[in-house]
Amino acid sequence: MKQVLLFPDHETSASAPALGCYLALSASTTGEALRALTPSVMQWEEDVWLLDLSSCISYWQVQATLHKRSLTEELSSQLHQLLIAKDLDHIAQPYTATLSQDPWLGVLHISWLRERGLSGFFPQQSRILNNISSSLSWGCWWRCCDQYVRYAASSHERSKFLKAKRSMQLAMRRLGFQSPQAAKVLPASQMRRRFGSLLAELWERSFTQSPNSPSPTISFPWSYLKYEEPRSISRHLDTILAQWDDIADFLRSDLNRLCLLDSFKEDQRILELEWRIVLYNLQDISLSIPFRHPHSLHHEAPHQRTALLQISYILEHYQRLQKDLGAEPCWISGWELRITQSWKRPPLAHSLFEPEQQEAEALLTLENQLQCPLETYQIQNDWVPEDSFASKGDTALISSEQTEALSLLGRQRPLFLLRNIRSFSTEGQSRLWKFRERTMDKWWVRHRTPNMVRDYYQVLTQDRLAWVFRDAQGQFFMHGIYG
Amino acid sequence: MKAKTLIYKDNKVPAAPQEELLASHHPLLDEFLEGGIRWGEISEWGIPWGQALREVVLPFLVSAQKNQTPKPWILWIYGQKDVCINPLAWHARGLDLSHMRFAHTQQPVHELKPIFLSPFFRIIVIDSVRNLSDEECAFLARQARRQQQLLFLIRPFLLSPQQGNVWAKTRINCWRSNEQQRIYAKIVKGRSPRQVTWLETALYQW
Repeated sequence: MKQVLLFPDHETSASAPALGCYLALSASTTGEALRALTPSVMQWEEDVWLLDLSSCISYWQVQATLHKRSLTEELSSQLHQLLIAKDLDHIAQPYTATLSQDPWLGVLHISWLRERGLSGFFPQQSRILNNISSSLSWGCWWRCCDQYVRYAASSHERSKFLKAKRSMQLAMRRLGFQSPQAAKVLPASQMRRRFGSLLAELWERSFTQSPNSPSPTISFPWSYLKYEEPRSISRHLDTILAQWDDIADFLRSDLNRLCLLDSFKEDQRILELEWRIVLYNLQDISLSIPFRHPHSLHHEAPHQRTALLQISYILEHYQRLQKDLGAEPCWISGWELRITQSWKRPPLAHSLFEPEQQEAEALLTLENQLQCPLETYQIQNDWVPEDSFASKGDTALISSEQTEALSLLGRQRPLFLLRNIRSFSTEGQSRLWKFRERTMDKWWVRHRTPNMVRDYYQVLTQDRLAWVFRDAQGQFFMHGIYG
Repeated sequence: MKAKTLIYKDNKVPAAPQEELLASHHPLLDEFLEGGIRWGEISEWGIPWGQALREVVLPFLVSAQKNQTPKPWILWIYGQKDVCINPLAWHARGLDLSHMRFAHTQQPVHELKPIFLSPFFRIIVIDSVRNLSDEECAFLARQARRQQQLLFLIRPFLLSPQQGNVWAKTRINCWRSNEQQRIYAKIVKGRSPRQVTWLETALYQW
């Protein structure tokens, strides 16, 4: 008997899936110009660029909110300013760009769009990209695979790939699959067994984007453009130190010395520092100091409060780990402080949005100083509880009519959702059940199991009011708690 | 002393709240709290978890966002395990999420200290955080007074007049009677003892 799986599985996360932000761009430009959007720029081909926006996506989200645009609109506008506004002659054939969750999809999309001579800005949710898999040719797919292998594999792996590629091409011809779309039915496990892990991984990422996919940043062969000049400051201490108060004074001075370097201009903001400490026994330890938002060292000179706070959190965490392992206290005899990632952001339109801009800047600075991140949410026009909001990534602006309808829907819903939906046994529960809503489930979405509807109830269980739903098979699941 | 019980009447409107008070603009609540909650103070609320009673606090936040200029930023710190925020429900209750942030931590003073040193967030709610020491409460009270912030300290249990945070100016208990389908609130400290009750259906109409 065929088993019908029903939504949700027990590990389904209640939080909305975060959209990745990778921009693939085909344009005649330079990497330096594109650094106005993000410091993480990779030249994929001669005129194809990949931009990893994750390090400064929160900044662009704030800008989008201030300009009352969606993130896509904001990025599209910034690209337009970068590539076209200065040169009106190029309006007829400007650029082709796609925004996607996975850089590999960005590569596929941009290749497909160029093949068709299409230009413009295409977010992943756009209809044209949703239908891309049906018209993707083998030629386009193999070309992208060849480029990927050039960055991802060693020469030995490359020859293995070429062998696997030939056998897969032969197999596809024999099986009569005219396009990758036709061969989508082939299971990834079989692909892995027959053609190796590299091809299977690319195959899987091309056609099955599930929330459980590995983080694209980890599995993508990024090769960012590098800065020519190193920006670092070294210190050799006269006496070894372990107390933060003693260390902080020297670090403050070093952060201010970094601001004086010719290679580190005042308009540059840091995204990551590397603090390489040398212990009394000459052991080298490298600690990465990331910032949530682009941070200006120059603006905080001479106190350097934000950077010192972040360094103190990382050191405290490291010392705690060492203590748990029973290691000796961390006696420091010297260090090197290096700027590993910085960003020169574009100038802001102060005149139009000054009060809001200042407020936003203050919040970004405050968030940079915290050990624990703040959660930001935006409402999405979606009736399914876990899809009704976004905490990161792109959200479309919603109209007042939509807001009103969503408010009516949300009124009966609880303030808190469970992080993981869990099954709920009705045995021994109270009879205080109140029907709340009937919600259609998204049975057509590929990575979800086909449940048609959910009936939600408010149930009194163990002195708590729970938000429970029954699926089409009559099984109960707890989804939230009325705070 | 026997607590005075107020009965909800639709047509009863309390006197206009003073400027230094934040009113909820809900007649029953404002009358119960003698006009509202004073800026610069900590108010401690005993609200058992899972009773749908955090909604009692929300009218104050909504009122602040609607009536204060500039619109105040609100931070809701929650310490409950295994749960996350359902933003649509908060939005539906009238909160502007663009001026609201959330944080999940059990050590707010340690992990979010710069927030308490800054006047950026005018209203801070600390919900179900168990590890708050007396020193931390004293620090929070001092910062709230200095920066004229409003701090709601929500405890996941009922409070008593003897035990609790000595720095809280007001101490209030809220509970639900499932049999009577009513919600109760009682002043434990800070104002004249009184108790108020309303039907739970009224909660959803606020």
